Amino acid sequence: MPQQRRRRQGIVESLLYIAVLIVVWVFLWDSVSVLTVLTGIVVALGVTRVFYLPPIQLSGRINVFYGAWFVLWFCSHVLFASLQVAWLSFRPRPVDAGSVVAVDLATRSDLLITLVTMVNGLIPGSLVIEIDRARAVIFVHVLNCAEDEEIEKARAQTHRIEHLLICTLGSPHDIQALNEYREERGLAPVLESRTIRARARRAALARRTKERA
Amino acid sequence: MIQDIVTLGLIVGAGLLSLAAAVGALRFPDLLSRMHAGSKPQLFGLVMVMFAVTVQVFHWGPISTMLLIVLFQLFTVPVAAHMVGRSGYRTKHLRRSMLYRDELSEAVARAQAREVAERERGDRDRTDDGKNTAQG
Repeated sequence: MPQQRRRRQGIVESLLYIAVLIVVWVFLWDSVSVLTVLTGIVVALGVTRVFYLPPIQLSGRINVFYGAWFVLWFCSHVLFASLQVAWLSFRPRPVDAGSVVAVDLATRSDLLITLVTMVNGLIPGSLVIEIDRARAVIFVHVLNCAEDEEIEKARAQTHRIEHLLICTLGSPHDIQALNEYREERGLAPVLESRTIRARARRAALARRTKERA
Repeated sequence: MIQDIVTLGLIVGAGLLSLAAAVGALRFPDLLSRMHAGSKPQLFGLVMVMFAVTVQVFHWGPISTMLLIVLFQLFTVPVAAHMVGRSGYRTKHLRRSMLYRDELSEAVARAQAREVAERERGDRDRTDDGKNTAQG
């Protein structure tokens, strides 16, 4: 049963990639016609066969509410941080020293580490310069950061990115790890009904009621 | 009329951001700081230019192409900046005086210490084995 489900998930994922490639192709041609869609299918199949990449492991869940919240948060941060970096380059006083901050991530998923790294690189003022994949530690270079307070601020920002991304598309394991991390810091847990533990509890409950019936 | 004013504002903003990127690349003190100026304000400027074109030419064709341009920029810019920063750090093209705190060098030192300890332990085990076999 699990094997069958995994195979089905693999087929769904590869169909998803092919659909995305077809959409990109249609966007490039600026028109939706039988010809562009058909050539798009051919090109997508060819590209996925010739340039084979190891499949990305999607978690199979997505939360639209948190996704929208993440996009809003991201856009506002890019806007303000752009202005801040612009001011730093124009102001008469030169910038202070930067810092390289090690941030311990809760997740171990490759996809989420990559996304956190990319979002960090897109927000001005922070840039990931090294990743320790096995320990899920990313090293962020922060511009104009010569005070302990600012270092903590940068760390909090990276954790905020991770929190929003896990809530948007993290797997139940990731949410569990995030909640354990939050518990250590005395924060309230998020999306508790989606964790792997709650899922196991629900499955056990269902099994018990089935046995009784 | 309103269209033109919005376009004007967006393009002037984009130009100023690109100028800020250039000034930053010139004035920032070291490679890692310059990477911040070189990649990000310029990206936001490009997005603003794309919005300006969209306001002028409100057709599905150009808009879809612009979506692709912005999307690929979003994917490639951070990767390029990461690779330059990483290789810059690894080849030691950085000014230590411009780093207030460097937790990566601490991590590298810890990893090296661990490696040395492991190698020593390995050597000791091997000599122990040698003694045992010699005795046996």
